[in-house]
Amino acid sequence: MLAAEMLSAEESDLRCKLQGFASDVLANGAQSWDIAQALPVEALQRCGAVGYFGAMLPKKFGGLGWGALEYGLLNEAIGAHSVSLTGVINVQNMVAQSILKWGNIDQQDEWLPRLASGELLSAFALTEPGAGSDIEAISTTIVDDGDHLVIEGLKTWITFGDRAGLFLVIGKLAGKSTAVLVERHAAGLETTPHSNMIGFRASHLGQVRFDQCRIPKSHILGRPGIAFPFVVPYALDLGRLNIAFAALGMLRTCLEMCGEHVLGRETFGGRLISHATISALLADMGVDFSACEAVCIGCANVRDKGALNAMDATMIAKYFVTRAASKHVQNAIQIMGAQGCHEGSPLARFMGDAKTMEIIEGSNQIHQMILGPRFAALHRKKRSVASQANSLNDELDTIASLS
Amino acid sequence: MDDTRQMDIEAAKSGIRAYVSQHAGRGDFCDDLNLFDAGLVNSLFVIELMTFIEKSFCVKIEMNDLDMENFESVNAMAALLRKKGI
Repeated sequence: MLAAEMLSAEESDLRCKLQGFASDVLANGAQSWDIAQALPVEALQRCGAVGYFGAMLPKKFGGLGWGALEYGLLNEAIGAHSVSLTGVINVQNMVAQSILKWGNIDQQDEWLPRLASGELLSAFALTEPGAGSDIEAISTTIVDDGDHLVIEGLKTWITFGDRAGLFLVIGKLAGKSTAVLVERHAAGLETTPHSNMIGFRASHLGQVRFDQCRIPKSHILGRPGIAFPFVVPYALDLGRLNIAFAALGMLRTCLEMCGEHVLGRETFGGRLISHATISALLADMGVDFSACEAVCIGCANVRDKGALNAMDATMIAKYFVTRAASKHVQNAIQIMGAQGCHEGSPLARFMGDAKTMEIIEGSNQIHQMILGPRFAALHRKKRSVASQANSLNDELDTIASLS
Repeated sequence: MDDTRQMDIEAAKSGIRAYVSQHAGRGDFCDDLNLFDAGLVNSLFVIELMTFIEKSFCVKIEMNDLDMENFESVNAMAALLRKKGI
């Protein structure tokens, strides 16, 4: 409501256009896709045809060249209907941006145009049975074998893992964290679906097994040693932007459904909204939606400006919006009563999606572990660190005068 | 090293120190201190340091620069900048 004013006329038009696309393509199918635990090829093709799988890639690779805000608005629009589809868009853009950032020219030319068009869909293979938030515990090994690499290991809970044509795999080569690109047809790669998840049910989550899987050595992304400190955080940072906006879309759907219900339904001689307890739930939901909208748009603007605190802003957005979405999906079900409790209701689906969003791309507890000390440091600085170190802005001004 | 360049490096170190201080919540560390081993920042912060250096000093961090050792202390980052011609 308030944050929408932060958008330019052009950005508002794009938002409407994206929401129109999402309604056309998703509104009637999203529920059945999650029940069937599969995304139809037609929906993926339609997203590919309009460039959404390469939304943030430069136009020279066939992408749309979008910034964070446009990409965020896309995920908001799609998240309002199908969080599962935002999951696929997310991993596709994470892999594509990783290749753009860390890949060499040959790798970019080979994979980015096909990723942009959606001809090739991808997955980010990081998590293992024994390594989730603690990525250093990853046990997948990558062994140097002349012109080739041999991968041995098991990845699990991989979004689109059961369908992807290209995998960005994180393992260890001679003890050094390393990212490699593995095509589905590589010998020794096998995938199996993870069925009956509570959230992202149509995202084709899968287990990916590498059994003496051989790939060309030229498929190393960047170089050995950079995966944990650079490749993974960079990809997850983009993933958090997706999650924040997708959760915002989900929250918007909650408001729309509840709004229609409480204004139309009569109880005890009056409309549902006339009861103070229901009004309070709607007020909380609306206020949190407005705040989430502001946080998401603000975060995207910070990223698009190239500000140094963009990663912090994105963590704040992911944490804040997923927490709000989880709370208000439950409240929406409370308001809708039995109508929200059936598998035919998007709200029942959203409940599992929202909980999952609090876990993926760095659990919200990991966010707390990082953001807590950050806020403490920032506020302490205001009182005392400023006296220990010169003002950061002054320093940056000095630096700017040098460069 | 001429005086002007020495001054530039000192200014760069001061900027790096201020940026780290902002995130660590303290500024009482020496330029040789390994920021990660000392627990002032965690390993996830290295990519932010990389971005800070690229944007603040208008330099390109190349693939061969992506070693934790290049970001582990104020002096290490200053040395990296010297390599980049600052």
